[in-house]
Amino acid sequence: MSTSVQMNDIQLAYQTESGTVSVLNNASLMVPPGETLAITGPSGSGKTSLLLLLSGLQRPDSGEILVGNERLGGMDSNALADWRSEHLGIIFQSFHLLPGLTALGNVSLPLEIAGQANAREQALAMLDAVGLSHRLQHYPGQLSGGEQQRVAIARALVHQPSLLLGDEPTGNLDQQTGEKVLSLLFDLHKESKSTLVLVTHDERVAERCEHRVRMESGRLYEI
Amino acid sequence: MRSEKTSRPLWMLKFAVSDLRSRISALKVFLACLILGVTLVAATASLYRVIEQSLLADTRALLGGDVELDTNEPLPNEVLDWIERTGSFSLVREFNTLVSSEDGEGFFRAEILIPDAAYPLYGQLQLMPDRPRTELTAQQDGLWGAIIDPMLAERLGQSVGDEIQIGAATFRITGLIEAQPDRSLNANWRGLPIMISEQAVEATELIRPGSRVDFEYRVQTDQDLNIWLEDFEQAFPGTNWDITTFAERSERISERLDQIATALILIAFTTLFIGGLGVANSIHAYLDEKLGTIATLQTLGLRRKPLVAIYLLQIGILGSLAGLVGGGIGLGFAAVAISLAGDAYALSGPSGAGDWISLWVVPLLLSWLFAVLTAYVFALPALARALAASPAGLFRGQVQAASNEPRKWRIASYLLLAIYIGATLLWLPSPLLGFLFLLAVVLLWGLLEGIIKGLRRGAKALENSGFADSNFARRLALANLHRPDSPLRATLLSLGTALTLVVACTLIVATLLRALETTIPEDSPALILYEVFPDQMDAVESGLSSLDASSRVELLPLVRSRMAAINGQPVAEVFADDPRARREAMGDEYKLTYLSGNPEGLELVEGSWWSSPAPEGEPAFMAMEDREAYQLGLGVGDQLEFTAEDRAIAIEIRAIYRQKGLQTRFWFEGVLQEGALEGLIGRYVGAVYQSDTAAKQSQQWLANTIPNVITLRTADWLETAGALLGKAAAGLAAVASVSLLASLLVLSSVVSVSRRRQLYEANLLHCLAPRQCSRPSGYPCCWKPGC
Repeated sequence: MSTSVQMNDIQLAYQTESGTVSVLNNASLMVPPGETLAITGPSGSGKTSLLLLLSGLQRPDSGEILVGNERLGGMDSNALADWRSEHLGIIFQSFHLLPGLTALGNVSLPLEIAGQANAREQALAMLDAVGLSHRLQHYPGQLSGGEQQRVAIARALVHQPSLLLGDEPTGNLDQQTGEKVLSLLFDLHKESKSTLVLVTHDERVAERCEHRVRMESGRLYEI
Repeated sequence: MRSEKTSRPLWMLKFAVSDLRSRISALKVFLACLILGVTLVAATASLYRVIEQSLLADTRALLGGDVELDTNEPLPNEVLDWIERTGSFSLVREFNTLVSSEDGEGFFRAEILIPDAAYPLYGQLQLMPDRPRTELTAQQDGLWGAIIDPMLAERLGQSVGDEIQIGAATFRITGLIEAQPDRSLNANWRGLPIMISEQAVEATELIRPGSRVDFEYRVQTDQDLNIWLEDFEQAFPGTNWDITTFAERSERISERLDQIATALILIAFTTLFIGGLGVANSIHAYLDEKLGTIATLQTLGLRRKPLVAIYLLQIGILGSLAGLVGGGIGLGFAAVAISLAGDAYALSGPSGAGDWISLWVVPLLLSWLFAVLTAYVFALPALARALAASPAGLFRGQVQAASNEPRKWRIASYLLLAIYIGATLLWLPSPLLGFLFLLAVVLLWGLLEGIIKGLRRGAKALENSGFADSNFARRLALANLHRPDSPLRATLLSLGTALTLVVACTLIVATLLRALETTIPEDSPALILYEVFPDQMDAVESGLSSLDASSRVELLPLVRSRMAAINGQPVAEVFADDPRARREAMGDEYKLTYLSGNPEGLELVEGSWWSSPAPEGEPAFMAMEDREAYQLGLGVGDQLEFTAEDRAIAIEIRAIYRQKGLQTRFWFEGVLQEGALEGLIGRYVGAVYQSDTAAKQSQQWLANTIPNVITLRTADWLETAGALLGKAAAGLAAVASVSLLASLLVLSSVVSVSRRRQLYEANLLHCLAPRQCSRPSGYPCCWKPGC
């Protein structure tokens, strides 16, 4: 299942002790359903804020965000939580697996939160798909960085989200592992047909995406 | 629709447990702090309940009847006939004396009981061997039988079959009193009971005209006691008998018990409060580690309510665990205490299902409830800040807790605190004492908060003054005192409260011990004499002088009287509207004396002493004991009339004095002008100033020569009082140590809260290249130019 992502004239500013800092300035973008987009740009250019807005964890000061037919600005916090649970997968640079849960527990968590009955079976299948069926009962602390990121990818995709967000998904991995994880991510994305938005500094990652935009001073520039 | 699925309690419980289990080690201090506090609360509360239930289960048995009439002479036949028409009665005669083993070594004060055949009206007297009382107290082989208290047998070093000396007679111990329903609560201190027969009393030669013998008439009646008392007072108006109903006795015991229990429970609650600070710090440290999990759950689409519920559930689980463990340990301590001291204090554990519930299950449930409440009260602010953390931190490297808790959470915290305080006050046996305690806690914490603010401002001012400009370590130390999340507050509040408690307990014990220490034989009489008759004065004085020429004997008259009128109005009229106060005022005995050498060291509170003797035909001056005077609302200038031996004594209150508490041996209620008691003095009390070695000889000589004189060696008394206080001091010290331990745990929790910051600062400092020795060992470093 895939969805389009559309941002129109997004304005976002933070209040700091030294005054207002403008982060996004009339930023707009459009990703067609099932396609991939890489967002690059220097540190502090607003890439992370863009991801926060797309995940519904932050609201813009003005502008509109549409994911498929869903208008994120019109949802209350419960509706946003439900939307994330059903339609969104996020892959973090630092994995952010829950240390108290096994690989299987981490992957089945989104399904359990969504209240699905066959969470375990789906999680097993997903872990098999990322090549970790032999690490089901291992805790994050017992897994390598690459394995942890594979569990994180499995967790992000297990509930078949329509939108997949990635924040420097290979940033904490060595080059060789990063390549493998990236290939896995793109393969699974292809299978799932979700829309993929990646924030990255890595040109090689960006090159694998169908669309590329660059952020500078709160504005988006298509490359 | 979704919320139904996500808020499934079972899933939340399962997740809460697995999430908790992963970092349970971070919550050791949380559990330890709560367990310590709850253990003390459960132990004190359950002991209180057992004691209360044991003492109040049947105060009829403790009193010996529905009503007790206490006199020092037999009641007239017409009164006894009246009582028999309304019910039945039993008479127990009692008097105090000294008892010694057959070899005459060691004298112990004992209370001789001569019960009649109807005794006991309530409860069961259990003797060992289990034979009839009359059989055991009968004369056999020329010796009368005595049934004695097991503790007295132990003190005398005697057992069944051995002989003891009471007055002029030798008795054989024929049995031990295993259980006595009406055993005095002060028996261990005032005199342990010995039961003998009516006929054996004569053989002791201890009773002679004027001897102090209490006649305790215990009445059993089916009538309503208020009506019975009313009828009795109408039938015999103006009598001065000391009348007590079992309900009044219960009330008195309850009041005293409630005060003691409240004090103990409050000490336990203080420990729980101190532990609460550890709970707050510990949960802060734990939630700091869980910020990533909380944020991740939000990004995965978990709604706010189930998220909050999961972490509230975790606190509830921890509180419950601590409550049940602490409650169990506390009840275990209480059970051990009951099994160790139960016999001596007539305590008994639960015997039926109802007892089990009220003595063990209810305290356990209450302990659990207070543990959970404490956990929530102290954990809520930290939880509120953690749950308010923005998940954006997941994308930015580190999730930070909010600096302040949201308004709704703050209101909820205050509400919970109010419930907690309300529940505490409701649970305490004496809410007034509880309220005063809370007031003291608020004042103390207010003072500590003031000190904390002062320290913070001082540290900031010092840092800004340039004092630390050239010294980085000094600057960091000062900054750590005043920075927003400095551990100063938790440290000072917990240590300050615990140390205040320790100091308070130490002061109480030290004051009591000092009061005892000041009663050293050099400064006070080595021997106290009671029951010296006027015709024995010369014999006592000369006999004691012949034994030790350096000794000084001071004899003071003792006249037992009743108050008849206050400022010209009969007492019955003064208290016409309050039957209980009237009975108490009329039934109370007032022990009157002269000042003489003031061996009691009475201290004037109001008015002044006099130098002249009592004038003829005018009221004599009297100094009155402060508590007695204030209870009756009397002051200097009031006129009173006492009666003794059917004679009126008119007096004017000229002074109010205070007794010296523990050091008081005679406890006079009034000191009169010399001569005011002429013709009324039936006995004397005395103070003998001599060495303790001489006092031992004197005691032996008096026991052999003038056996009716009761003697009390100061050294013995000090030893007994010291042992009793020693136990109290040990108990207080143990409780105070637990509080101190709780505060040390709080300190360790403060350290654990600061650990992440310390690690960060240590790494940062190292990267800034200070010397290796200034960095805590074992910390990794990011760059090593200075190493």
